[in-house]
Amino acid sequence: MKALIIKDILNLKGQYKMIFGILVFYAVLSLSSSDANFLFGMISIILTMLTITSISYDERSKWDKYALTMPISRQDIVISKYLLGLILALVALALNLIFVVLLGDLPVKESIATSFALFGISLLFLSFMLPALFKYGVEKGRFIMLLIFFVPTAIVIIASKLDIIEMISDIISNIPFSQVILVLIILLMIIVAISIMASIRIYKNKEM
Amino acid sequence: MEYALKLENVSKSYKDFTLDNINISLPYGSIMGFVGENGSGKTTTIKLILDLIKRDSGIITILGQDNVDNKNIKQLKEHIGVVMDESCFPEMLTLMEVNKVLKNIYKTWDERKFGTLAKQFSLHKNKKIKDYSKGMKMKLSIAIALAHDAKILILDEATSGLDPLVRDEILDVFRDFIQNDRHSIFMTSHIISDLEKICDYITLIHNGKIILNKSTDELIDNYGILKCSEADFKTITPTAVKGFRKNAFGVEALVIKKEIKGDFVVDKASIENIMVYSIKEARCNESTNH
Repeated sequence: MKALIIKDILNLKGQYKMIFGILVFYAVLSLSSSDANFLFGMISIILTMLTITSISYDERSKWDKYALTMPISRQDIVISKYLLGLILALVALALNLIFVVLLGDLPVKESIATSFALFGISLLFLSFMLPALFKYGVEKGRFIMLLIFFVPTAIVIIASKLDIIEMISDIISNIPFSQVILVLIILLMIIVAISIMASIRIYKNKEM
Repeated sequence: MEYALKLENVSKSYKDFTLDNINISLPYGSIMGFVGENGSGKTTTIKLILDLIKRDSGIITILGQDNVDNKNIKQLKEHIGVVMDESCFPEMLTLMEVNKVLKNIYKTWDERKFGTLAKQFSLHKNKKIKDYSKGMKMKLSIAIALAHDAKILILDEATSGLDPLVRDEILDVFRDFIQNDRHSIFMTSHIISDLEKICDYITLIHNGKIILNKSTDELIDNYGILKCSEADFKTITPTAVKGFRKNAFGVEALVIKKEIKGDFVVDKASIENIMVYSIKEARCNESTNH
């Protein structure tokens, strides 16, 4: 497991320079506009997408087939990708929190909340994405990625048209904030767990 | 006899291809060459052995253990070395990084041996794998296969894409490996002359079926190439002929030497001759059966 994560982190090293460049660019941009939300979003998206990049690299070198001839189980390969996703999401969270401190004049509470929300969204995104990638591969998986982006957007647009959001926010505002957060965290953990089980099942039946 | 690799009645069906009741036995301490045309089922068989695809029926044992239904599968894989013709390490890594990763994968990883082999194969230390040539990648895979405690090597086209000198060098490495009489090699190759040099056994697969399975010596001793006129060819008992080709000068046929009576010249048959004629004969039988 450790070996697989080391492998991915080393294999992705070509990306780090580019990521650093993008970060600097957006950091400067958000300094001048004193709105860091876009920067936070970029950091989360870029780092989350690295997990998918690592899978596409593996595909290109036909690594999985080779790895499975070594003392590595199919389950190891699946779980290593979730761990990589978690590590990268944590790095994104840490970077965001560092920027909150560095950039100074941001609304602190709000920015921290945004950072954690983005962390949750990253995990949610990977939970939907990874089973699809294990099933269909990165090439076909791209369409599923569009779907994953499209469906929530559509729901939000429809909901806003029907005043559902106001209804929901009315309901939520009557519940203590900490309880809402707790429910969301539990929900997220359940989704991640189901996703991991689904991926393992898919990958165990995959013909290489 | 004890076998390092044994396939018993192994079958696998696809829509357009069936691997039909494969039986293979590779004794400890020997090398088996697994030959056949493109698409005959070699890679499918190797994938079944490595449990990359699921068999429909049959039993596969590696070093005396089932290759799927086995609690010690990771332990078993410490002792299997694999080289596949297309599959390799992720491309952005360098040799040193490959070593770092493998150290954490194999309990039996031997860093020093890997270093020695890398030097012997002149693998570039700081180049990324994506800049390696096909031959270099092949050599890297071979070095990896030999740098852990492998007792059986499973090689799919491990010498193709390499020049004759390097191939010779690698055959020597394999010969070295086989000096230990608990070590075994199962290999496919299109370069039959290589197989003829080092294999103890030759197994020929055609259209998903094993059509020939003998020791190399037995093949070379028993088979011969007969050249004669068409008229003379008709006088030969048909059971002695294992395949033939007609040309302007007469007939060239693969024959069982001792069944040829009379005044004929029978030349030595190479494994390549035997393979080509056997497959021709099999194709001939298939078309008459249809």
